[in-house]
Amino acid sequence: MLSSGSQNILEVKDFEVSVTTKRGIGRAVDGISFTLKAGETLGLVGESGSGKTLTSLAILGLQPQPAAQITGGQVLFRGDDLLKKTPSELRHYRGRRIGMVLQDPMTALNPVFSIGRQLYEPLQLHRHLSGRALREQAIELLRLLQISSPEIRLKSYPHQLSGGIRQRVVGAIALSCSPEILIADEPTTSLDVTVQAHYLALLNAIQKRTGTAILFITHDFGVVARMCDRVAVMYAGRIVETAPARQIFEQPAHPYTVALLKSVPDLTKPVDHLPSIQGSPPSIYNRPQGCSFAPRCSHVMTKCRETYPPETRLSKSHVASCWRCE
Amino acid sequence: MNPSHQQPLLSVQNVTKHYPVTSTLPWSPPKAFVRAVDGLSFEVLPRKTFSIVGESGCGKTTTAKLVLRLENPTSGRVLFQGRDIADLDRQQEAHYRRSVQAVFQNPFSSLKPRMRVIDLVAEPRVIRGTIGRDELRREVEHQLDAVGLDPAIINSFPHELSGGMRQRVAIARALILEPLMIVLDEPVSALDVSVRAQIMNLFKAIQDRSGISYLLIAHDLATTRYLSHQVLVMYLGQMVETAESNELFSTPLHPYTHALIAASAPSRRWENPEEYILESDLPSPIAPPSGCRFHTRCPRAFERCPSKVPELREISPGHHVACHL
Repeated sequence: MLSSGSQNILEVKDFEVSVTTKRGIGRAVDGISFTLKAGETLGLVGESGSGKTLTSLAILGLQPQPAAQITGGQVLFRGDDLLKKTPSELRHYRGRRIGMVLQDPMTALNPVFSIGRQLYEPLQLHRHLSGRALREQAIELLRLLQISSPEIRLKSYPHQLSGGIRQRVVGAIALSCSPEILIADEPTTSLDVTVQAHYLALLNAIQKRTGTAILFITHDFGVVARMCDRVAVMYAGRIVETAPARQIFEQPAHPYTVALLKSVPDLTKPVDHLPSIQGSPPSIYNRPQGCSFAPRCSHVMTKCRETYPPETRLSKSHVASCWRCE
Repeated sequence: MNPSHQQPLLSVQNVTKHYPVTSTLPWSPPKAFVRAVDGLSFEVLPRKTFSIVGESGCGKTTTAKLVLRLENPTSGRVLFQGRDIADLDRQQEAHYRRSVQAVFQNPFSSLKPRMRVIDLVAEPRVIRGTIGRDELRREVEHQLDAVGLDPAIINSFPHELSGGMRQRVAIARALILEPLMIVLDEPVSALDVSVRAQIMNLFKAIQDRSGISYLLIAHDLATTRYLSHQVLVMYLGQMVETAESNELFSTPLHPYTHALIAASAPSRRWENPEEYILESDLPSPIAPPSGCRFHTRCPRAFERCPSKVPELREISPGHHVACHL
């Protein structure tokens, strides 16, 4: 990577996505802002329904339409607002400059086409390769993802491969055009722990070599610790805390982050009782006034139920939205 | 196997389950067998949690099915309260079915979407025998209360409930017959992180209160450690190590157990970049590797491993391991 490490490659500002269903209009992504620097891994952490997946999809205009609509904000990719692009312009970004790995490799791959054909597609479309060069590039990509006997795998179909290999194939497709950003949405959730560890190590190694920035979406703090440089914690459509990964683990500031970290049992020592967060996250159609975490928070104050807390800067790179941090 | 010499509630003795791999023509003999479970023995004690961990495809769910008698073993026996469950008369079988309940991974698919909570929870009770309407309703309300649900949701449908609430309904449904043992097949892996702890604490509270036993099937080791007393590690249908939970996690002996723990321990990027990572692919259970089945992925394999099957040895009281090292 030639550019300096601190350059912002992706800047998301006051991003809003609303979902309209029979139950009403819900703001699933409620004004979030974050930046992704070249070569770094940012973890977007949250529970299901927190809006993290919708954020990742909507960045590339892939949100399920017409139910979900982007209602505000900016997504600046190297200074260009992606939200102002026409669909055909966006297509030059998808796959080419921003690659994507989705959660379930079985649904991400088309079951009726061979691995080769699915791997050729982005290479033909974006890099205009053909013939021998195409095949060689595809084989090299499979090698990059440590897939054994790549020549044979090109002819295989998704059902003939194990989950771990399938997810690596999806990774190969996502990385095929050397994207500047890789969006990985829970890529290891459906994999076994051992396979997961292998995949994450591989992703780390590839990132070191290529300098791709990764937006890593997950609910698992174990994965965060392995992968991320910085972390943004999402709750009910908003980012409640952003900090370097190490600080999130060592000095979490937001009560939600603290509680979430505490509710994961420790493997290394016996635990008698696990503190749990009472209740469940609010529905997007019916968010409480004030801080969305207030009804479940053990440090709640009257102010919390009235107004949403502003962002407080705790250190140069550590930001949290909580009245207690004021 | 049984340090306290308590009478085991469930005893699995040298159980094997092979599934035939059918060839293209349905009438021709099977080409091979998938050795899903191969010579497995363990005991579940009253009031204790026994866990089986391993990667997918190691045979842990098949084991659960054998215990629930959803499958019959190819060989070996499963004894419940000393009786072989393959060999029960009608009445004994009814007793067995009542005493052993199950909670599955995904409460989105394990609850019938068109039944209301009251019917879902009451169903096992209605099957057991006649009961008055009011009494039934009281019992359901009692169970909902016991699993921490507001009895007001009694007329809701599953889709109106969150994942955690659904799993609580599934637990209430398992509890209504006051079973002696519940088979928990990945009971929290489909739930959100913040809800997982609630459900795990609920399992513990129920056990403290009613002295029930659990057979927990899981792949998440942290969950396992938190909930269990005894742990069995399975690899490709065979047991590689079994011990009391704290001992297994503090002094794992088998290289596979080591690797599993390393893979799920919260390794932190800024602390130790050096860690041992297993080759990711599990060999096929149709033609498992010779000798020790783990030798193809084992970092410490030596000459003896591919040729000789390691015997299960007792290293310290209650701690058994199958490894040449």
